[in-house]
Amino acid sequence: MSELYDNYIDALYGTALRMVKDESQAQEVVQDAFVKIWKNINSYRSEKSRLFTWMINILRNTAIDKMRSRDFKLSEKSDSIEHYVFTINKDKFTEQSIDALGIKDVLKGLTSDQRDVIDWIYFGGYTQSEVAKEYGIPLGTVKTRLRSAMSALRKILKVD
Amino acid sequence: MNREEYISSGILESYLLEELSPREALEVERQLRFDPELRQELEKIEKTLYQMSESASVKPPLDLKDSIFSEIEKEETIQMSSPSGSYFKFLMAAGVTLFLISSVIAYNYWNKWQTSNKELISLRDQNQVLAQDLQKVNNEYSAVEDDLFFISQPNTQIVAINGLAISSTSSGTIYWNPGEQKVLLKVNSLPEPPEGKQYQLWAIVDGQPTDLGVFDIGNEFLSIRNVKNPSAFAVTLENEGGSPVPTLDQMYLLGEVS
Repeated sequence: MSELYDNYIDALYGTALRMVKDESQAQEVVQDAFVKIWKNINSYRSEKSRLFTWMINILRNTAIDKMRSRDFKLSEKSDSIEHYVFTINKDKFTEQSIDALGIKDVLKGLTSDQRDVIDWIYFGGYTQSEVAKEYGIPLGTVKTRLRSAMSALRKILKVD
Repeated sequence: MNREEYISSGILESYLLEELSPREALEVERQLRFDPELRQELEKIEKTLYQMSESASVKPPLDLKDSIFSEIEKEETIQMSSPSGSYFKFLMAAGVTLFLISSVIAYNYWNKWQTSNKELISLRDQNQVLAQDLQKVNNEYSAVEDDLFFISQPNTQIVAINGLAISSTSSGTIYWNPGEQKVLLKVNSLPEPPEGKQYQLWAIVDGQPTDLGVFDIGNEFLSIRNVKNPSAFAVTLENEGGSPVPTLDQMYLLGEVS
């Protein structure tokens, strides 16, 4: 468990921070998520997904619960989501590695449409249907944009 | 739908973001089992998401790890003490609370019962004593009633017996009725007899002293056996148990029948 923490905490904490946009709440989210991970580690199935995918989903769900519990209504959030996402000042936090690309640099390589769906869905905790409904974009378009964003990210992050 | 179309539908992303219904997710998992290239594609998407999260990495405060692991330790002890979780804990707590409350109540009532039982026993004892006392009083009362009836008879004579030189302040009263079988003695005043001595009552019949028995001072009326035609009554101080003949120089009271 300690090894899991050391390996993944920076990525999990960074993601949580980007989601809830508050350091102490992000710490709470990570703590709650780790307790859940510890409690449910037996239900992780390696044939279904990578461990990190399983962990990040627990973290994201925990963060989503937290955002909903503090009455973060979708409509309130929608106006300010871009401000939130892009006002996080990278310099405020210690980056894990100077060599590695920061999230800002990564997202810079996307079109604004692609960046929006990643921010709304991956870091905002919305489902694709919620995004479609909220922004008046057809669900098919949301899916296509997410898919193209993922393809672009794959190139930027040199996954292939 | 071929593999390319399946992939470009975005279903794998939806699967990884847990947006699919359980039925849809099972279908994706079935496809993944039979299609290694589809699995490869899935793993690439996972890797992309992972690397994106990595790029968002921020080092948390150093004390977060301790905080998390002490929380996990806490959960561990809770889990160990109650494997079925918080509802079980709640039931346990409720059970323990109920047990404690009922124990206290039971003890309280037991105590009260014990006290009541003791009280009941002591009241019963008291009642017995009272009943005995009442019986005694009743007996005394009927005796007094008898004496009073005897005294109030028209032919009952009252004989005053007065103190002689040896004890001039002493006095007593004899109630004598020739038709009845008893004589009553009322001691009005006599000194306490010394140790080993008792007063003895005599009747003088035909010039001869007749023993009417010894008595102790205290009772209101002393019932004494009757005599026929007494001319006088006398009280002497004798050795304990009485004497066949009166000790004349120890005569305390004397009274003649009129």
